[in-house]
Amino acid sequence: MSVTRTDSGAAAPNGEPWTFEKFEVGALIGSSLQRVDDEFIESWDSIYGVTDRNGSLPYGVAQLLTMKAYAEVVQPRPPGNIHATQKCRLNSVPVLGREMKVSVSCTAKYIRRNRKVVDFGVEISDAESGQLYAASTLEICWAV
Amino acid sequence: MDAQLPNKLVKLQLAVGQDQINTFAALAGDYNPIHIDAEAARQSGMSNIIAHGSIALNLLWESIEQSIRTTASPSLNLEVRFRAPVYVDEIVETGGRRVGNGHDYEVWVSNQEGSRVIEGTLTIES
Repeated sequence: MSVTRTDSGAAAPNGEPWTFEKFEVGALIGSSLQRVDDEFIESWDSIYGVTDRNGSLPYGVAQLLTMKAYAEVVQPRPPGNIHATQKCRLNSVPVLGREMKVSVSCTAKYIRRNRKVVDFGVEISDAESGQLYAASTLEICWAV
Repeated sequence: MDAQLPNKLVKLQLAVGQDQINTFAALAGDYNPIHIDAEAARQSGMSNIIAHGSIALNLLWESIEQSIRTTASPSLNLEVRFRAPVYVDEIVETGGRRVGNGHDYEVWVSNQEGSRVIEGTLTIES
């Protein structure tokens, strides 16, 4: 695969789908190590068109790695969740070929208008130096 | 830097076909059946296959990058709400306008009907 996953995140307690009750606010759920390569760029360009970036990665790579890590780490998920909002602070663009650590935490959970909502904090940092590239909050309406 | 910031973001369009969805599914490792199988999408209450929300959001990131890449290194805050799904074979278009003379922008992604599927705010920090 174009984005190379080299480590896995945590599984839900006892392997059953994550439920609203199982999330512990403030707890790290898991993390993954990822590296973006040339194949990634080819796939990206096939969707969005070729752009001359002088060897740098697209800004959107932070968004993609965020969602990839969330999908990998928060497993298994029940069907019917809805991604409602997202906040992203992009400090700098991840670097081609560098190994990145993407960590996923539960930062809040609450009931809003009779819906269960879970906030996930996702941080992308350089695996070696610890430099923080991006930090996002995903607000997910949780189905069960 | 303020004077160098554009008043509008570059408009970008994307026809979201199944090929784009499949490629994105591979990139993101997200093979949820609602993105691949029309019947599975209908069973989830959708009228057809829906694209990953990040496909449209990343088009917005592309627009932001193309708009400011030459004038600012990224120190950005983007906050968005996903207002509606993007269905397969829809065309989406980005938009963004500067609010006042500061570093804040109203940003959005619309479908071909002109309905906003994503909207939010962007702040470019100096």
